[in-house]
Amino acid sequence: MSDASRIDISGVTKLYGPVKAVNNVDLVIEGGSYCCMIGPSGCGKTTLLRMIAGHEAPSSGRIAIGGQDVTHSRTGSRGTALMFQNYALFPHLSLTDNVAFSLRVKGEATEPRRAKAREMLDRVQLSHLADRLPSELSGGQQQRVALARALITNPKVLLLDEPLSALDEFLRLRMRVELKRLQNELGITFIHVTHTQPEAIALADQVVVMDHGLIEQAASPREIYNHPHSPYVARFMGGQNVLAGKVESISGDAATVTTADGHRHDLPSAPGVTPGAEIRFSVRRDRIHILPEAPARNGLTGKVINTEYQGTFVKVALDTGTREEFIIYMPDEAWFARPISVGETIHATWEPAASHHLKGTNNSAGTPLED
Amino acid sequence: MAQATHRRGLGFYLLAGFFALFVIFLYGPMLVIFILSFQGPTGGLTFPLRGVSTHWFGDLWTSTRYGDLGGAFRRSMILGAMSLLITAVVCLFAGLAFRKRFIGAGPLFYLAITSLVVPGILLGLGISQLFQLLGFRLNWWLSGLGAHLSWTLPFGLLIMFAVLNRFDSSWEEAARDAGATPSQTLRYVTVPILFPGLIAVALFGFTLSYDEMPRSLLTVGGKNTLPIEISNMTTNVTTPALYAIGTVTSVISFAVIAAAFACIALIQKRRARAKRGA
Repeated sequence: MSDASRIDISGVTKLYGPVKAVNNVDLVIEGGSYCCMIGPSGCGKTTLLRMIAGHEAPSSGRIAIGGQDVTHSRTGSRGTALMFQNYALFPHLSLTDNVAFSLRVKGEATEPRRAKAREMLDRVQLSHLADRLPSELSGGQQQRVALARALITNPKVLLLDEPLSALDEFLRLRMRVELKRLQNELGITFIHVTHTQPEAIALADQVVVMDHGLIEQAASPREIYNHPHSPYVARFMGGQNVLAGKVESISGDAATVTTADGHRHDLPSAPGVTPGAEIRFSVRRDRIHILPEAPARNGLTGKVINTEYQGTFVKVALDTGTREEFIIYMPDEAWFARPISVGETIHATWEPAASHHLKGTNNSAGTPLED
Repeated sequence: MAQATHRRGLGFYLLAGFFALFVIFLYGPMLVIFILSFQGPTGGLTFPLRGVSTHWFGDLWTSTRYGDLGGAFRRSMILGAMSLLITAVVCLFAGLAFRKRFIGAGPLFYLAITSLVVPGILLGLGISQLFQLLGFRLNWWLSGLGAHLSWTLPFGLLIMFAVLNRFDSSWEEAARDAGATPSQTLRYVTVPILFPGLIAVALFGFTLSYDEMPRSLLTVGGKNTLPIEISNMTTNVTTPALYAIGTVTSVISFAVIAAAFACIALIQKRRARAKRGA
């Protein structure tokens, strides 16, 4: 099964007039894995998904599913099923007939196809509503119908276009669990487009971070989170502070960096950098401690501009004189032992191991645009 | 709430009076004709009524004074039916085609709309000249139909645009994704979802053709359609039979509209029944 649902994308470009929606993308998605494509609106993630589904043809490049070139084969014959963002349920058909639609176009007789559809509806716990019309369902129910309609074709690859974005927070978390369970059960490849970071981190075996038609980084969630490729990925995925400085000296792979305000930082691993180079690095927000005095290295000083209690930790935002806020996630115990008030000047420090050199050059802010 | 219980000012009564005048102006004439068509056998074209009877309706069918009313009615109904069918089919596909910005879509659209703007009588003259140049004899079912379509098609197209405005093309994509061929997508998804709107387009095709006159005048050839026949009657008939024919044609127009609404209601009922699991 797993090789039959592997996806190879090589050199795929999609032009809309002069605009490169997807720009020479190479990507391998292992069969049977859960892949999340993430990026701000207009980054090309949905276009890439629609090209895999066959709703758009690439301007150049090649897409193969299970080793078979499907670049120009017909939608609906390449073993993919797409779940639409707005679900696109047929408003004039009952749930049973919605789910049975693909069997109908294959010429299957009415009774057997309805029986199969009811079975599939049972699987998504909606058999009691089998004769309703889509307009009579809640958003969550509509989504499960869309899922049943996609799965009845026995696809090798299920493509989900922002499947959870229309649901409220509570349902979103529940459906997230449901999707993961379903993927484990079916063992087919899921490709899920989202612009919500926790969703991607929670679901994916492989996270693909995109920006401006390019893949910035494709790796496991842990790798993306701990070793972001570029300042953009670090900022977009969150949980990191991005700092900039000039390389002062190197020894082996390790480097010493000086920031504009004179603080010195140790980077344990920054292969390929040269003294004098301007580089950026990230620091995990939850690996930072507060000190009573300014540290000699690997730290900084800033004025508290905001504190936010988050339940298990407290988010402290510092103004360090750069345009970017420096954020510290403090354990709630530490914070309540010595509360910090807005306006106070504090000193922060971290182990060199919490610093990570950002090799990529994409320095955009990475705030996801609202749809 | 406070707004609703507030005392109504002078403006309200002025506007309400104006609206009442408007309604009277709109429906008054029709009502007068309707009442006068039930004039007694000795009554004239004006009030007062001399008794109430259906004499003039009977007179319409039995008297020979009124020309070929029956034939004109039959021709208008057939023309209306042909316009209905052609308008619905052509506007469906034209509407679907205009969703894609094909080359020349803009000019083609304006060309289609132009025939709504050009004075009908001139268009009729042009059509009659063209058909004769091409060697066809003017006939109500040929040049007459052409003239009617020059009126119903652009109208239908505009309504089709409004209908398609609420049509989500992801339904078609979902059908394609499920493996449907283009013709299956059209049959199982596009047409069924658009059907109520198509009825509206077809209805316009019929009613616009049924009472069309300026374009028909010079294009129907030797045999008249109903509006032309009635127009002729106004010049040489001086009995309330004139009102009777007005009442009959209005009733037919309303009947067609009612039939269309019944059709839509029936579809909705069938869908509701499908939902209950019949």
